[in-house]
Amino acid sequence: MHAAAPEDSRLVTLSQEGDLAAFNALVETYQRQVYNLCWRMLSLREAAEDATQEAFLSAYRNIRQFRGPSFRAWLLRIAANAAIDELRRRRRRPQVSLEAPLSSSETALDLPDPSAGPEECALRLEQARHIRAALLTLPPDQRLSVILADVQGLSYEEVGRVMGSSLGTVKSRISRGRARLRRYLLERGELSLPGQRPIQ
Amino acid sequence: MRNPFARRHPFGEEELSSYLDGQLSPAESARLEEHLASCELCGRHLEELRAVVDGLRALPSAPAPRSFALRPEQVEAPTRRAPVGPDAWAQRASAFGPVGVAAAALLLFFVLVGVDLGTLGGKGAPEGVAPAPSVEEAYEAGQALGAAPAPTPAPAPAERAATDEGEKVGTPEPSVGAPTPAEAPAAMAPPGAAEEEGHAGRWVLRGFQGAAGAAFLAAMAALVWQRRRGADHR
Repeated sequence: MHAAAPEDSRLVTLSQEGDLAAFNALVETYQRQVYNLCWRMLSLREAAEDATQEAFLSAYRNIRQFRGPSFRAWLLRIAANAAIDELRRRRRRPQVSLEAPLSSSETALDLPDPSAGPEECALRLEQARHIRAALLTLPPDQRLSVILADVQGLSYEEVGRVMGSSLGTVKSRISRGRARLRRYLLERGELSLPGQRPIQ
Repeated sequence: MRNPFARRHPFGEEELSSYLDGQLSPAESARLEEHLASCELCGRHLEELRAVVDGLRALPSAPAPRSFALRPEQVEAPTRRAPVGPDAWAQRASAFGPVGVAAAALLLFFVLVGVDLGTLGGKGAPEGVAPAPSVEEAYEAGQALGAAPAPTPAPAPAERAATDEGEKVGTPEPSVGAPTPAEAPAAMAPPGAAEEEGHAGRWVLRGFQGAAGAAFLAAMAALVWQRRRGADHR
């Protein structure tokens, strides 16, 4: 789905020669995706910012080790490691619990497209809040797989490249992650389909 | 044998999840669709999974709150945080530097040499004497050897003393590992002094190994603690 773009290759080569401006052009291209990955993993803006900055710094320092094929997969792998490290660091020193109910400032980022009506907006916001809370209950490997595949839209092959896992492992992690999310939402009555009794 | 539920609903979470992503083969998809047409339970399960996936896909992507472009001073300043690169674990391991490598090599040396010496002299068992047989081995040997018991080694000094005092030591069981007559002279050499020396050497060695292992673990724990503290107070 996302092979190394020609522009990426040129910028990567320049970055490998120590050109910081070229690397910063790559930062501009990918910072939204990297930040969103970290934010979905950590669910705290401040922690996500720290992990994103750390990921880019680490990518710059290690860019000579990059051999291809996909710069995006390589960068997302570094970002995933940074997010998991941040997760561990915050678990050791829990100033704000990562499992705490999401604050309004955090959920504000989930505001849907304002073109939708106010009722639709409120419904989607509520749904997003439950799904984010459910995501936080997943173990890191399942959370990462589900975020990469379903939230960021990566193919199974790309998820495998980011996680350094086989296709079978990716399939299994995604399905287990989705199954846990389903159970979590069912238990809270957030997934009953119209006119049907939920399956336990 | 599979349980009745699995027989009635042969598709699990992984198949349903893969089906949603178009990851099943055409034949598997056809089988699943055929089953779904007649199974309300699996149909509902699939719809619930689909609702989960739709909800995840609908999560909005937030804009980056600021630019993460690197400044020259950031790039040049050394970081004290834990490495997060693609080979983060290798970096973490090498961060312990020569001290860690030397300590690991020392420990490995003691373990290998210790095992080797322990094998040579630790048991106090002279060459030619087989280890004590298991119950099964002894039974099989008894069967195989029949009524003709193999020569048994001379009793150990303690046993001899007990016999001299008239205590009943009991007749030794025919031993599978007992040496054949040809091997007997070497194998039956009195084990006394060599055995004691071997025992003493083994315990000194074990103590030394234990101390080296404990020192190594303490050094590694101190290093990890120090580095973690440094990272947290960066």
